[in-house]
Amino acid sequence: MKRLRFQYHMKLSFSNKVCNHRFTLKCIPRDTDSQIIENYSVSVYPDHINSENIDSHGNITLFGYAGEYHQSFGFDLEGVAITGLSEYEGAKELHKVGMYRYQTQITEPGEKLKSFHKVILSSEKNSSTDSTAHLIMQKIYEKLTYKQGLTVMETTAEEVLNKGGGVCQDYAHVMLAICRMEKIPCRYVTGMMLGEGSSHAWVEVWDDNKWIGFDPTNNKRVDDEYIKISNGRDYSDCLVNQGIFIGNVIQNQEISVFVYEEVNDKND
Amino acid sequence: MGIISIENTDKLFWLGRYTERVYSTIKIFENRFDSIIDMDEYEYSEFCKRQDIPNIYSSREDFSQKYCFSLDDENSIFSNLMRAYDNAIVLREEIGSDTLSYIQLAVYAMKKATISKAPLIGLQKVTDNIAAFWGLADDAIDESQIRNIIKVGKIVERIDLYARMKEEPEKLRREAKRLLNRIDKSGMRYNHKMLAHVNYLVQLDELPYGSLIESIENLVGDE
Amino acid sequence: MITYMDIFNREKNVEDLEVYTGVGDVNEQLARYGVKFGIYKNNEFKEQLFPFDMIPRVIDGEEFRYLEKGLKQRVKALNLFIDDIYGEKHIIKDKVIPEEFIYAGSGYLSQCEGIKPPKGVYSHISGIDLVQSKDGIWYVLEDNLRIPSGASYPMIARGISRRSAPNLFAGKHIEDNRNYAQLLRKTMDHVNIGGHTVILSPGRYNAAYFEHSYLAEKTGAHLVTGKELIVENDKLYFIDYSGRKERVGAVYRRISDEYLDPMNFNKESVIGIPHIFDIYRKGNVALINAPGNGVADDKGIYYFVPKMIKYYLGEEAVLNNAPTFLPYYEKDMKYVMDNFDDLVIKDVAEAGGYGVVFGNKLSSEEKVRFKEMLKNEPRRFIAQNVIDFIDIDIMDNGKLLPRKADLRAFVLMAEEPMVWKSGLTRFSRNPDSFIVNSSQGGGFKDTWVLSQ
Repeated sequence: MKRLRFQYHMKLSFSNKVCNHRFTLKCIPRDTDSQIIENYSVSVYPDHINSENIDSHGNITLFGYAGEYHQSFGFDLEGVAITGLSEYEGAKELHKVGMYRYQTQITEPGEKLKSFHKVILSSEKNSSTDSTAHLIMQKIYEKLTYKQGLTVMETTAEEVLNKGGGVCQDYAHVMLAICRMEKIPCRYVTGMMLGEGSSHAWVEVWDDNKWIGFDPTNNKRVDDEYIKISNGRDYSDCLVNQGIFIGNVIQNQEISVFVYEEVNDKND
Repeated sequence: MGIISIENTDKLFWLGRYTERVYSTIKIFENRFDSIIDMDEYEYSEFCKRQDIPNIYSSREDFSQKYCFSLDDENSIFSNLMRAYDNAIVLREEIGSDTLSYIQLAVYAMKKATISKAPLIGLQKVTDNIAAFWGLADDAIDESQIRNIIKVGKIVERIDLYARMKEEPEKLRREAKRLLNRIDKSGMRYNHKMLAHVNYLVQLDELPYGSLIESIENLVGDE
Repeated sequence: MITYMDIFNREKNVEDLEVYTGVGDVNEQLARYGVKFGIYKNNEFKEQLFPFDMIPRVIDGEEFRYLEKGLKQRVKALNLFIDDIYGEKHIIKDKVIPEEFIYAGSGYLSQCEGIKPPKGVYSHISGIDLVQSKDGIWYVLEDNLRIPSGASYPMIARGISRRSAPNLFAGKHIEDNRNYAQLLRKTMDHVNIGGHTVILSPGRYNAAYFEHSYLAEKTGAHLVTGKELIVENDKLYFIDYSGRKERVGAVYRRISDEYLDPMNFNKESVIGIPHIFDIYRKGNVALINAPGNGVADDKGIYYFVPKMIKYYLGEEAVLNNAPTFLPYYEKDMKYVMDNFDDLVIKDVAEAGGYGVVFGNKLSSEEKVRFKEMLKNEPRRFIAQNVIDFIDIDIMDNGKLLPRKADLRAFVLMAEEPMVWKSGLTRFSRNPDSFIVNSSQGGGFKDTWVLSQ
């Protein structure tokens, strides 16, 4: 169990002024069996008509509209999360599990994934979903090289195998594709990890009424160093920021995420 | 229910303008055609100058054919009729299917006139349908605001055309007065200073046609 | 089975038909009112008149009451099904429908999970396609729940036909079908949560633009495009010419789910309204028909509709499905392989008459290839016995010619389902074709329902 303080800063700068900007943000972590968000504050700018909602996957969604001209857009989030309360998330809505068993456009396997799937499976036969998922994670970790700039946001799992590497989002998509070929329900997770850097992505696998987190980028199980923000069928359900606006501009996005452990001086 | 969008306000206004343009230019053309027949071979070049349209025509015959019927000529009567149609077709729920059908019929009449051996007679069917459209618009549209927007479009177009043809100042004064009576009932947004200026210009003894055209063109629309 | 021959002859007026089809030139009248549908050819938008044939399909009162009963039952069950699928999914848990048919189909939208639309209506306007076989049995061929179109055509054609030949309608006890607008208005008002009702069209370059504008005129709803509506403070507004914001409570949208809201569906959509889906989720606007209802009109799901009726209503289906086989089930796969030549195979992802293959029309090589594809992707196809459905005559240059025709019946859901006492009868202009879609060059007829 850890007490983690987090800060998430996102800023979009436009090369020129834009207007009629509509945005949807999924940046706020929510309470789960493994984590409690003790308190948080979020500020969005330009400061405007904001609404809140919960989407079909249970994610907290902020949405709104900045009508007037502006040259930058962003949010600052900070708060405290108590993590590691449980090793897994229990299933609350069993009827929603089914949708995570099927491929999406992003995870749909082609020839590369199909043969990779065969290789993984022929090496060992595993009895439990947990150990199968573990094996898949390990094989992906060995197969792919972590490298930025190789892939883009819309890169499919099949293309990731073609390129031989990518970033955490790509590792997660490949893992989703293989698990789903095994008919294992699994979901994409966006979140934050202890340390300084950017946001992170991993996978949760359904095993006997539990969602268990696996981080294929780091080849480890998700533990109390992780704060979950959102989950979905693939990255497109978990976009931290999504927007449309009027203006022909070049955008530059700046993200910094900082998570550190709050040292508790009290002895208990 | 009495709510009209900005887009539809704009379309109603232009529907009024284009129907007027088609109607009046057919009338003007009929007059000129009559004089071209046995008099001035090149009168159409003077016509183009006044209308402020490029003279792309090679002969009297070429002019009467293209100016009336060519859809490739963006200044032709047919092109203007299609602009009226394009505005009307998206206004069905504002003006009603029956009223709209006369614009459709005018288009069919124009198509027939294009291949007719007696184009002037064919064009008369076009003006018949436009006149019927106006009559029904006046009679069948409940919403007075809609009727008034179409009328404002008509009057604005008429002032514009009269000024281009350097018509008698008295005729322009009459139209300007009608505009004044009508425009506030339409609920349209317009430039009040510009309206005052139009009224000032038409009172002058030496009517400055050029400034009048410029003012009337800038009366409605983006300020 | 009653045909137009009976009702024209009953009056002992053998010349009726000739008189009827000869007068008034109804097609000219339809042209006058701009009764057209749009079509893209070589990337260019063209408007075409939808050819109308004056010989009606006639359905007698008793037969229609049977259809009505079956259609109401079917649409009720389909609504319960959609409600279940985006809710607790009992029908999957109870193994009536395999989960794969839901999640791997294109109609299921995970964005709709857990949403309850106003008054619990998912399919406000349903278009059920039926055919009648030569022995008189009606079969449902397809359920269209997304944005079924076509009601405006018989509606306007009826008025014109009656004007052209008033005497022929006298005393024949034909149900008036021009009340469609009232039924639609009632349907829209039923779910309106407060405010104006609008019809949302992609614009005049849409195939069904005539219908959008005609229904707007006849129901008194406002015809709008996406850019005239705006979401603000969790509500939907129409902005009028003076800049005043008018609350909108119901949107009869004639644009597909995919383009409805770029923030929730296709990000490239420029005809949608950003965030409209978010406020729909909150119950602040009614969308007609409800997004995601395509999960119930998938061709793969069609097979299960009689089972749904049994499951949700505890009743036997009144209307028959065409005999259908799912290669997904081994037993059916064997049947399909053994009887390939007698079957019509349909790709579940295609619509509008595309992706339909008649087994006996393939060359032997094509057959081998197709069977291979079937084995690899069994869920992608359904197979049906070819129903030899009845011909209805059309009048072509003074001659009567038999043509295949289907019937699209319209069911509107307000408090209770209402069946429109008419329908769109579409015929194939090609004598050898069973495909009657307007996008493939078909024409239409009026459908006369007799009140006795």
